[in-house]
Amino acid sequence: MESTAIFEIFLSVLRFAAPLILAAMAGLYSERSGIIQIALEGFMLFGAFVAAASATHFGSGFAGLFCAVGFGIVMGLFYGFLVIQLKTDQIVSGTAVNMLAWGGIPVVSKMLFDVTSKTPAIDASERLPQWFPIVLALAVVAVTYFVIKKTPFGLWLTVAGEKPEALLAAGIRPSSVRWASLMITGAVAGLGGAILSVCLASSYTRNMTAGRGFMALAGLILGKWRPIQACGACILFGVCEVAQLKLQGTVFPLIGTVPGQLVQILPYVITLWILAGVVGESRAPSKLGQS
Amino acid sequence: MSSSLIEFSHVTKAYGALLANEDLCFRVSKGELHAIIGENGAGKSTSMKLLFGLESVTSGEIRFKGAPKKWNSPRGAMDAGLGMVHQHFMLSPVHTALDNVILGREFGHSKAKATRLLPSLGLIDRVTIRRDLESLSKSAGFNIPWDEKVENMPVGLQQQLEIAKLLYAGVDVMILDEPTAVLSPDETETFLQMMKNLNQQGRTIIIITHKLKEVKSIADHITVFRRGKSVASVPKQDVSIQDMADLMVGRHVNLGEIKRSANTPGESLLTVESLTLGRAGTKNKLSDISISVKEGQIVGLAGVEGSGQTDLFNTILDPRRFSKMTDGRQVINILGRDGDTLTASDIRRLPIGVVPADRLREAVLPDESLLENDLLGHDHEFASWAVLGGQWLDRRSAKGRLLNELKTFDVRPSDPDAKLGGFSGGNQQKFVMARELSRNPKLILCAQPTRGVDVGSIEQIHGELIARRDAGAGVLLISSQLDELMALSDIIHVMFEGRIVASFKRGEFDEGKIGVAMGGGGR
Repeated sequence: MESTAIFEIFLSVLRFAAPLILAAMAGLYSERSGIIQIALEGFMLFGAFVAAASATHFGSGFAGLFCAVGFGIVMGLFYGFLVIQLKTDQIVSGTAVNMLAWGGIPVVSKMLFDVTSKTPAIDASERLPQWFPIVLALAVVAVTYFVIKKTPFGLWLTVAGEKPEALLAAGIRPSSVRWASLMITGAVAGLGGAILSVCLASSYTRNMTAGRGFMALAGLILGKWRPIQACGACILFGVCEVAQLKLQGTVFPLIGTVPGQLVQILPYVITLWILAGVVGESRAPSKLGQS
Repeated sequence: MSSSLIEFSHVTKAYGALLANEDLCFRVSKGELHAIIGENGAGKSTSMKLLFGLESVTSGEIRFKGAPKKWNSPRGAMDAGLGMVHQHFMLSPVHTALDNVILGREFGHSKAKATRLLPSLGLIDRVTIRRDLESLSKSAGFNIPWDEKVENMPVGLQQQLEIAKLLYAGVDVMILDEPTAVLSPDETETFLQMMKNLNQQGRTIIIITHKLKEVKSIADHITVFRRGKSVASVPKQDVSIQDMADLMVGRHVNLGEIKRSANTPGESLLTVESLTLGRAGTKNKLSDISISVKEGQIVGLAGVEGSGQTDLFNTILDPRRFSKMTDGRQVINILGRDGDTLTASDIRRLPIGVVPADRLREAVLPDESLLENDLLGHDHEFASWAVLGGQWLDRRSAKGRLLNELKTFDVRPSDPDAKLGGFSGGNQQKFVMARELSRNPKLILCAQPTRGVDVGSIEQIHGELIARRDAGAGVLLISSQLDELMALSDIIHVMFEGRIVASFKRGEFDEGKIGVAMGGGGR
């Protein structure tokens, strides 16, 4: 194979992985601080819609990203209001946010664009370049790694998820740290959704995240809640995805054609297989879901 | 008085109708090592929470350096130079020792921030902090592995780490809540020496405890609490250990030898014959252990923690689970039955009382009521077969029985519906003893029966164990308190690295010799 072809494959892996990586980093902030983040899917979907809608409105892809981040922060605060202020069950609230996205976006879309399933296409000149999401995702991983390892906030974040009493005894309120981390989660997950509609496609289509939020969560667990490893896990999902695209319709010796569905489950089978045995014990933050 | 640093003046703290502290009056002088003693629930911890700003005073006044204290939060107290080590450690187990110490003070002293590169960028400079901590270690006598995760550190080092946190924060007044409750005798000694040193370096130290021997050995001044009030505040030399115990409890307490009948041991209730426990290729957890417990006998197991006592205890309770590790030899015999044929639930149905070392984890469910906890493991006693073939629990008769138990063992409050977790340590332990002993077991397996338990309750628990022995029961007693073993046992086996290295009969007990054997010497 030519080297350019390999490079092409490599790029398509990263392109697929970029939204996953962003969502996984978003989830990392929340989960390391002790709050289960099952609403990544909803956050991404909102991000994708808000980005596409505002990109067409303002006629600028960057404006789309900007608005998605802003709306993500609002959603983070809303989620924080539910689970920190009202102390609701985190899984139930997360599911509610997801359902709000699945049900709410078509309604708003109908009001704004008179169709429920699609936003108008963004002008080709305003779409962001394809390399942009890759660079963005890798930059967010680097920043996250740095925040967790080197900054006081990173230390507070991880202690909030492990032993909030210790944080309180040191004079820092764990709930403040969690509010902050949820805002970051909302912003980064919104960004992850935004690049789907503004960079990797030309418009928002109904349910375009297609489970990427949950996949990102799996990547986060697979990566043991650590930035670099979680990024690696998401890239692995990207490899599986590209592999299944390439393998569809390929005729294997002896077996013949493998049904497309069997190939498509490859990423999930690999996730299960790795979670079950290869990575060994994956230990969650001990106060996850108990805050 | 000008020299008093902290002064409680007629301080009262009420939680609704309950007075946790009532009319507290005492002074702590600068540079003093001040001990606050009292039974569980006497209001010692509450008073320190008031001082530290975790709770607010209902009436009265706390004065600091001659003026009413200004802070209302822990942060404020810390800024004023106070620091507190809580009874339950405030350490994150998966973080390193270093990260735990710097939490909340990531830039150390503010002066340093401006001049160093990393802090000025808002980043933690762990290399420099480590250097500071190592010099702090040297001056305080710590041997903390700074890059180790807390969960991998023994309790003694975790305690040191809590102290290190205070020193790093630069406190002058250290408040320690029951600091030695979880420490082994060795660790306790190291700890007390460290406290003396820190005190000599000019720090004021307040220790809450109910271990009177420790108080007598290190404190300068002693304040005694009883039922929320301060009943005495005196220099150490003015009181004896007996005085302190009497003041705490409010009546004369018997600290000396408990009378026991001079019976001869009867037939064997538990025998363990050359038990070896271990997997091929690893170090044996237990090697060649042989003990027997006879009727009317208390057999004590001494040893520093982790010498194999817990492994032995667990093996006796579930011998079948371990039978594969013992080459299939039948080495445990309980009440005439071969251990290899008994499951854990069979053993529960034999007349055996079990008091595990870690009561909150192994003996009770803290979030459930006394009644639920009483039924735990004894549900079959109250089960009856109903029409449809299901089992019903007869809660009414269970409750009646429990009320009797609570009365006999003086568990307070004797409310079957109260959550067990809300009881003081002493009452929790008395409840466990009540549950296990009121079924008149022939064999009692008892580990650390008085850990975290106050003087009055200790006297009662010890009396109960001796009474059972006199009545013909056999007791296997594991304790890290040598005093306790010597007071109760008819025979003491000393364990070291999974072996029994020495045995002493009553009358031959010698604190020095047993201590040497515990350390692995004298073989």
